[in-house]
Amino acid sequence: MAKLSMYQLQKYLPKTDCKKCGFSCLGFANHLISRDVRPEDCPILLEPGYSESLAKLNELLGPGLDFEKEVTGLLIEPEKCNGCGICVVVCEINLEKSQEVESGRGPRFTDDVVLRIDNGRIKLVDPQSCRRADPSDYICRACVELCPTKAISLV
Amino acid sequence: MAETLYESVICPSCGCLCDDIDVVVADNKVKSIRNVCQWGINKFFFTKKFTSTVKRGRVERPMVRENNLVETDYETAVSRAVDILKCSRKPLVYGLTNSGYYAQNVALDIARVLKGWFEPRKAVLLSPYYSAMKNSGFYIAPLDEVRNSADVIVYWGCNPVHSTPKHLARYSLYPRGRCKERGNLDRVVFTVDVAENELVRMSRRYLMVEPGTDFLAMETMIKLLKNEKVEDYEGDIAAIQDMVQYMARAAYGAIFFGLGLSRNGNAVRNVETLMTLVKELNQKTRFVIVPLYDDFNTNGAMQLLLRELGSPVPADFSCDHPADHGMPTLLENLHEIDAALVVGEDPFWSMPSEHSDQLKKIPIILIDPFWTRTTNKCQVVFPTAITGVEAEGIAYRMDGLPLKLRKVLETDYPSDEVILEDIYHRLS
Repeated sequence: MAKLSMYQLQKYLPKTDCKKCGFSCLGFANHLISRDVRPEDCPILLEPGYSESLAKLNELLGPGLDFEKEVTGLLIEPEKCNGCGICVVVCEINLEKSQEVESGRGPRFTDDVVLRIDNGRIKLVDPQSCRRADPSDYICRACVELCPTKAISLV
Repeated sequence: MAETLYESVICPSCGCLCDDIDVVVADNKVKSIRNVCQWGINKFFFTKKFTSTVKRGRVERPMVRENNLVETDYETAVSRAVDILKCSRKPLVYGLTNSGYYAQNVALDIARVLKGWFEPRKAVLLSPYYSAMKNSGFYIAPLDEVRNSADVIVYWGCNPVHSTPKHLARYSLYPRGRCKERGNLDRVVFTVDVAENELVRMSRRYLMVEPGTDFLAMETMIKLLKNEKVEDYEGDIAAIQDMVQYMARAAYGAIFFGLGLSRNGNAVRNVETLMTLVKELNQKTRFVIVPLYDDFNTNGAMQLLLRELGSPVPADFSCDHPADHGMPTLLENLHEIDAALVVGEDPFWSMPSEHSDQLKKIPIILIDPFWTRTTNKCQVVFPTAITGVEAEGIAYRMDGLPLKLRKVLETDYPSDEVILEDIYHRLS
């Protein structure tokens, strides 16, 4: 899934900045990307003249976030990944769960880790264990910041 | 169908020779594979490099040229290859960087028997490196030592994100070592290249150099290390000063260099100056230098030349002293060649066209598992098993460590070592 920009979504919003939803139109677009709000939360979009815009926004945003994106906020684009394994090595949960990762090796076949390289691409195998899944923990961005090909980003 | 798991298989793709690959095989096909990069996966799935969705065409049977290439049996192909090589006055044995050490050894014997020219691919970079060791000293360490101790890492003329994808995570910047328990937080990286790349974002400083003029930056660094005045350098002197300051204060440093140093034909001067810089750095601290290259057994061919002939330069057996002929590159002497035995290499893709045109005039014998640009221009083509996947072999890692490659798939194709041995026995 390509990453959406708030300007891309703002084109289909009323652009009145009425703040009936609580935000400006650009702010509303930003919250749409993070899935904090739905297009139907804008009262003006529910008016008959905006039905096409509403349909287009729902099409762009898709049916909703996958479980792993909802839990971790990580947007992984495998087609950009070159399998370098930096995210696997810098992930602190991986380091706790697999001794091999500490020395730069990939996790063993039986190790239960968060991220691993599967068939040459990065795969989030256990989103529930990701540090980002626990809201009380500090916000970890190691894999996002250190990915050389920008295959991992935040929604 | 029963699945077989092969753990800790060595990946036969780049010079890293990563030994943490887990392969699941079902029905004599690789079903899934873990901990392998985009480059390594093409070896196991027979796909194009960095394009794992595009399958490569496999050469099915031996072929000889009548008017076109026609399929034939193995014995006929070997006889034809032997005839071509026997009629040749000075054949070329080229490639071999994707073969095991023993196959390289047999190929060297073939060149010796025929009084031909033996040149592994990428010798243009590694020959000056090993030659310069005679003057500068032996500054090399296992990659595990770099991982455990290095706090300053320099990538000069190479981009590991593309050439050796797992190098950063496995051996240099990101892994946690015995003395570097915080991984990348305990290390500093410098990048020197002709253009910005992905590595620049991870680096403390990026030094841009003009193509082929790396030696000017190195000479400036040597002057700064000797506390001499620098007045004539026109590049980014601030970056150089910063680099020298960090390198001189490092507890343990590592320089990785790549093919960027061979630009504009300045490989020898660039590599020799870099080795002098490392020698100078070792007066103050501990610094090692390791080459980065793409084909997995490039270093094996160099080790073979050093062991057999005592010199890392390509061997010309038509001279009395094959390793001391004063001819550093194949490309300058290509007009002398009248037949070629190419193993696991595609010269019509990798050589400049003015040089590969020379090869069109001579008969070529090709040993390669896949169809390449060279295949259609050959007199004899042998299909072969892929070393490290379908055949066993010995490969040398970039730091000179020999590793035994395993085989995970069964095949009917002979290995390149078997084909070369058959040719050698008929010749001798």
